[in-house]
Amino acid sequence: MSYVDGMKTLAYAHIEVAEEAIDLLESKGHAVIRLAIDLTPPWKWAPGFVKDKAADLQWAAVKLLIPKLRGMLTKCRHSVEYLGDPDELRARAQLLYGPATAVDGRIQEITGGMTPVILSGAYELKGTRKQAYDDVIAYQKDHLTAYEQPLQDISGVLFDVAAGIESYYLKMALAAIAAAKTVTDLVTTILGLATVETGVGAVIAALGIVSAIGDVITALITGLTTMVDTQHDNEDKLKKIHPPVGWDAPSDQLPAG
Amino acid sequence: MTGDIAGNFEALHSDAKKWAQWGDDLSSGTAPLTQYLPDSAFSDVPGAQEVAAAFAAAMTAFADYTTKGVAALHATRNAVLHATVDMMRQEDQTAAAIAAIEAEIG
Repeated sequence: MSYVDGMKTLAYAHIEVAEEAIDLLESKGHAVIRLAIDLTPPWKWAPGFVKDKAADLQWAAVKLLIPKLRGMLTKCRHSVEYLGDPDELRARAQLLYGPATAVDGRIQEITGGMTPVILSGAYELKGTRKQAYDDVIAYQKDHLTAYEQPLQDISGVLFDVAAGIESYYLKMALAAIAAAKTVTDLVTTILGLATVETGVGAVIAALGIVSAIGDVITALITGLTTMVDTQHDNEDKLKKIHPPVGWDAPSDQLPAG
Repeated sequence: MTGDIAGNFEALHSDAKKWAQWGDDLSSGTAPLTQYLPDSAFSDVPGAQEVAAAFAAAMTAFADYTTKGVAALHATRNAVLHATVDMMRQEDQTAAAIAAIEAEIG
């Protein structure tokens, strides 16, 4: 399991905490603000309907934030969902090319035995027939050897994709965690008003935190853009990799001289 | 016959078997080219599915190439078997022995 799985789990945990905080804000926010007004010295002795009106106004301002915060968390969650499987990609890359790999290794085994010395040790072909056989051997070896470079290239791209996913994931998960934590802090700040004496102005101050979350979201988008560019590069590389054109079957007869 | 071939026909026959074996080895050895790799391994980042598609297209191209290669190696086997039969006729091998080799020609 790649470490990106752990990052995903961690990011999800933070996002879930932030989502629960927003749920709490939505269900208790108005009551908490009303309580804060009750406890704040300048408002303490105001008539109830005035305090109700003040709480409504503050709550209206806070409530506007809720869909925005939920939207941010959705973006965070979505960015973390772009997982992929770096381990699977690396395993496939190694299967195609590398020390003792299945495909490249097997082809090398085949070409290793394909020499005229090994093939014609106990008999003698002469003239045109010998030349034809030597040509066939060389032709088949050339076509088998032709696997090597493309397989190496494909394997390299798969390694690059795996590394790209991990690099992207590290940035995304850290950004998502930062965003989620900021949302949680914001909600805590707002709901914490009931215990402070600084007044409802703190609500307005807390709203400033939203711009910080915006910065984190910008980082998410930037990271995504970089990843998309990388994907295009990898796609281009793969599209340029082809086996040689044609691998014709030789004649059924080695021509007699 | 032309006299351009001499020696132990069984050795030539053995060569033919090697070509057949190499054809089979190529087929089995390149099997991972056709093994399924889920697109999700490439992630769902925009553009990743195009990378997955390009990878699949490359693998398909190599699988096709392999199919032709296996056929080419088996055809070489047939050519060597024909040469074996020629050698057997030069050596006046029995018709039954020659027929047995001819039966191997695909």
